[in-house]
Amino acid sequence: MFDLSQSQLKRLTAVHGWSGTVLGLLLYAVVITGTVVVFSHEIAEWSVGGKRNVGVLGAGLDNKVRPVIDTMSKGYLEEVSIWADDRGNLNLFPHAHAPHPKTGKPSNYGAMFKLDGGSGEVLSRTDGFSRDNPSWHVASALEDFLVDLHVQLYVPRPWGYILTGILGLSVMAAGVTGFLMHRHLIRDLFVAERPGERLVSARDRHILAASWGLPFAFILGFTGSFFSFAGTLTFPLISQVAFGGDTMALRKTLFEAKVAEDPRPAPLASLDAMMAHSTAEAGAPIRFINIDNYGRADARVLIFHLPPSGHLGFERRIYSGADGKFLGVKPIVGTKPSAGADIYSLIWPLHTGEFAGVVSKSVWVGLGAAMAFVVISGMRLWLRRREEELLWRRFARATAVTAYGLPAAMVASAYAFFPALAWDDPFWWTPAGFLIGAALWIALGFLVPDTDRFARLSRRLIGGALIGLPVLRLGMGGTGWVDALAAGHGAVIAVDLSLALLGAGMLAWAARAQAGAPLRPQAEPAE
Amino acid sequence: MNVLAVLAALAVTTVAFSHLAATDPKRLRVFGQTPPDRPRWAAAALVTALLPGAFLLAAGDGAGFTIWLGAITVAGWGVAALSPDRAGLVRNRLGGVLSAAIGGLQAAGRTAASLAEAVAEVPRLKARIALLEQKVAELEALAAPVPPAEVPAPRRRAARPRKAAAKKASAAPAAERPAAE
Repeated sequence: MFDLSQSQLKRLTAVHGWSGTVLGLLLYAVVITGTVVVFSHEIAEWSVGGKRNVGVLGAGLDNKVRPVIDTMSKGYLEEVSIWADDRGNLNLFPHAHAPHPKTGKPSNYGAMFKLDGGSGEVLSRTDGFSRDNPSWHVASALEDFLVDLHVQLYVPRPWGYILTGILGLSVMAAGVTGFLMHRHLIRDLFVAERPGERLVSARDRHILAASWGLPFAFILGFTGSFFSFAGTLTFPLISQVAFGGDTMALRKTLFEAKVAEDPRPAPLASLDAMMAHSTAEAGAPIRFINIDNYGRADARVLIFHLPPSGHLGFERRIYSGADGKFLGVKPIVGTKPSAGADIYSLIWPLHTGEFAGVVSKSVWVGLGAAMAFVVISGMRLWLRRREEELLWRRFARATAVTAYGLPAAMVASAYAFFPALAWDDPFWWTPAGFLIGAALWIALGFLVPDTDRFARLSRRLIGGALIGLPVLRLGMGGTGWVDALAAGHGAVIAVDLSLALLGAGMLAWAARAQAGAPLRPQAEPAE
Repeated sequence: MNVLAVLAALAVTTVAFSHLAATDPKRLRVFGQTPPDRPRWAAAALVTALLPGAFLLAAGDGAGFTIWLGAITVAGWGVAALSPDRAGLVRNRLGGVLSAAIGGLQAAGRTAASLAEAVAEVPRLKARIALLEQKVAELEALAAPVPPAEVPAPRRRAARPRKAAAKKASAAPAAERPAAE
């Protein structure tokens, strides 16, 4: 498309190839975990199973939470957060903001209550900084681990976020350089991979997938990078520049409803009535409720709704806590509608596909899988051109081990999760299972030197493990299909079936590769 | 968001992409096939491919448009990644499935038509049954005045040997002899 000189093309190829090679394996890890966690809520529901309450954030909530909140001292009532977990229980978190002893930065400190979603009975209470222990408020350790792996590669804050942010930028860089390098992008848009497993076939395969995936690779890279840098770089920078380092002032200005201070005591108006009005107006279920200054005349109730039908962004509606009056729809940032707020509100749905239920999420899984294919096919192309050298051959081996080892380790984490759930220690064992799985696959890579055999064996093992996962879940006391249907756990059956199908697909792929053409073609000169 | 509208939009775009892929000159050349002589209608196919998205946007369905946009990049890749031979195989299979589905629909249509005919026949049949019942009633009325005829008692013959019977008959008084004899 662009007329570039030979030297320019050479430089672009170097940037494109080396950035992909240096960061490719990490990028693959982020992309493949991201593809899985598109269905994080469904995975959480599937993994914890059991009893489930529906419509927890609906009528009757007031009578469940108010008696608990009213017992709290004033210090805890600066902000009250209410949301439902994946078991259908209620998380109720009256809290204040205090400097965390480890970081020195303001963090949420309060009492995390877990309430039965149906009866409102208090199941547990834990006091402290909410971020210190995810088991206080996260229902599924498996979901928590997989999300953590995607957003920060299980590297401690802030380095994990910075790393994934850089990976997001590298996706954009690869997209731009690839776009500039490929002169016949439109003309080659329908040219399938040439037969014969030649070098040009590998090139066709990579270019075709990359050309079609280019727009969304750019979107996913940008939005992912935005989230990674938001908490680690962007907001701290804005806080320093515009608020003198006061992060609470930044938070109030950007994310909270504007309110004139009025510390006089005033009971909260009917929460049920506010929720009913908000749901009727928004036309979408409630995801989260936040009450600022509970018990004061200036209390504000912020109700977050899932995107209404046909919309992409979540809806935030504000009510006056003292009299229950509707004050308006709040933009995601600031207090008035703006182009910036509109763009900001699109970043989450465009990154996660969470805006139209299973339909949009399924498409986003397809986009993620396509992106993973682009990364791996690009790396294989780069390595194919250098397979004469021993170092690159070893790197090719590492690529194959990562390509199969990462999904295998994710499955291994699920295998560790279910027994650990029964032993009541899933938050330690789930990452441990991942590491054990990864170590096993690295060992397998050493034991099976032939790459094709290693690939076939990996497909068989992963396929079998995927099929066995629903069996393990049921064996460890997970919800059966009949109970799941009765309790409205559609996700349990859907995930079980998807795993079985995926496993069968892997086994079929392994069988076809064995019966079909050789995977490794004859060496040939570069084309 | 109307899921059916999004699926229909995706189907239209995929069909248009399939046409563009099947007639793409470079693709055909690469696989050693000669492009057909007839016009390709590439611009029309491209407009057809993109039009469903414009409809979704015009209908104010931002979510549907975004899903369509994401899905067509995956579908387009899938269509383009198939070699002409495999695409032909898929087309044949899809054609088979489609013709089976059409055949099934036609059979279902025929069944529905015969059912509809049967349902439409019901009032006529009812009228006919009523007429027949009326005729039966008339015939019964005609037959009603005739009293049933008295049926004579069946004659019985004593199971005795003839000689003994004759002897007894001659010995017995006349009043005791059977009337029939």
